[in-house]
Amino acid sequence: MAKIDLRASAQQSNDAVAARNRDLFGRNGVYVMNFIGSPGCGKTSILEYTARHLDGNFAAIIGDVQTAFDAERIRDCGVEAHAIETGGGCHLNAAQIASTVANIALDRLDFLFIENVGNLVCPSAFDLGENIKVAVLSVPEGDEKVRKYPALFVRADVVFINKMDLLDRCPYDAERVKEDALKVRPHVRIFETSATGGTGFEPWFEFLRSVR
Amino acid sequence: MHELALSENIVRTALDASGEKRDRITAIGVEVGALSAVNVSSLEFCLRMMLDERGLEGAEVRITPVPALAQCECGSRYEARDMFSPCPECGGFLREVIAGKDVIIQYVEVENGED
Ligand SMILES: Nc1nc2c(ncn2[C@@H]2O[C@H](COP(=O)(O)OP(=O)(O)OP(=O)(O)O)[C@@H](O)[C@H]2O)c(=O)[nH]1
Ligand SMILES: [Mg+2]
Ligand SMILES: [Zn+2]
Repeated sequence: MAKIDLRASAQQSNDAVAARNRDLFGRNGVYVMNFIGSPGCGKTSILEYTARHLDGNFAAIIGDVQTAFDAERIRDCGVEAHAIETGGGCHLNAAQIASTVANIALDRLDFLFIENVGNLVCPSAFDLGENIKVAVLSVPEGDEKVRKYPALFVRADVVFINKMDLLDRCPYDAERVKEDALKVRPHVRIFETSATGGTGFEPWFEFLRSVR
Repeated sequence: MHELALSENIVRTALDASGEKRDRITAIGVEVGALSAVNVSSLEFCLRMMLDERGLEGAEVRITPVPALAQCECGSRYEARDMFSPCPECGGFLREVIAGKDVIIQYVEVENGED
């Protein structure tokens, strides 16, 4: 029996494309964020609010299993948006991003938002070439998500706790969520928002201005 | 759910590395990090299926789960079996995960025979 040592990442083909994307984004000076969260946590709503209230040049890429509804919502805010329909795929991959950004004039952008497929597991394992991963949680999902899905939270540099307006209607210990998030990622930035109520966004905007 | 995509990559890498001996693969060794977001039994299932499809029914799938490795700001390096337990040296949480996030193809084993 002959053993051939490989020690290669099972993600190497995706990682190679992600590295090319990252290089392209860097050369164009665009800051790229990969938004990951459960279906319905408020990813699109956060992007809508941001697009309407922060100055800057944005574009968005929206992944969904089916439909381009969310991309249309973003376009309604006056922002260029491209839909990727994964047709059952549970995550976006770097190649899908590469072919989509080929149609975007990156050099005029400050920020590119990528909304991943609603899912707390698979998207965290696929590098798209982004600057940061942004995990989006929401109050009605319950306060144990960081405990249940640590793989996402060790990789996320920003965590949103959205739907804060529902705190009085759902038992939810936001302090516990913040403690847990800081345990798995000591330097994570946490923003507590209500995307429909438009509260809590100023620190997030401050953050975006600082990385621009 | 993305175990199928990973399995395709793993099998392709193993086949490429085996070259002319690709029909005589006897085992594939894979490490699965505790924080890789991969389910070991689904990965095993998908790998088995893909190997069988290529007539490699005899090839063994050997998966080794590996715990996450943390590097603490105090200097200690330890196995983080649970990301919610503190550093055993200093009791702190100011650490970085330095291994255990990935799925790694360790090796492929092929039959020797020169024929
Ligand atoms: N009460 C409340 N509702 C919200 C908030 N943010 C979003 N919603 C509502 O939650 C629902 C889902 O919001 P989306 O922004 O579509 O969520 P999403 O994460 O993009 O959903 P998918 O793309 O389907 O995964 C909508 O009905 C929103 O109006 C919030 O802060 N508070
Ligand atoms: Mg959406
Ligand atoms: Zn320590």
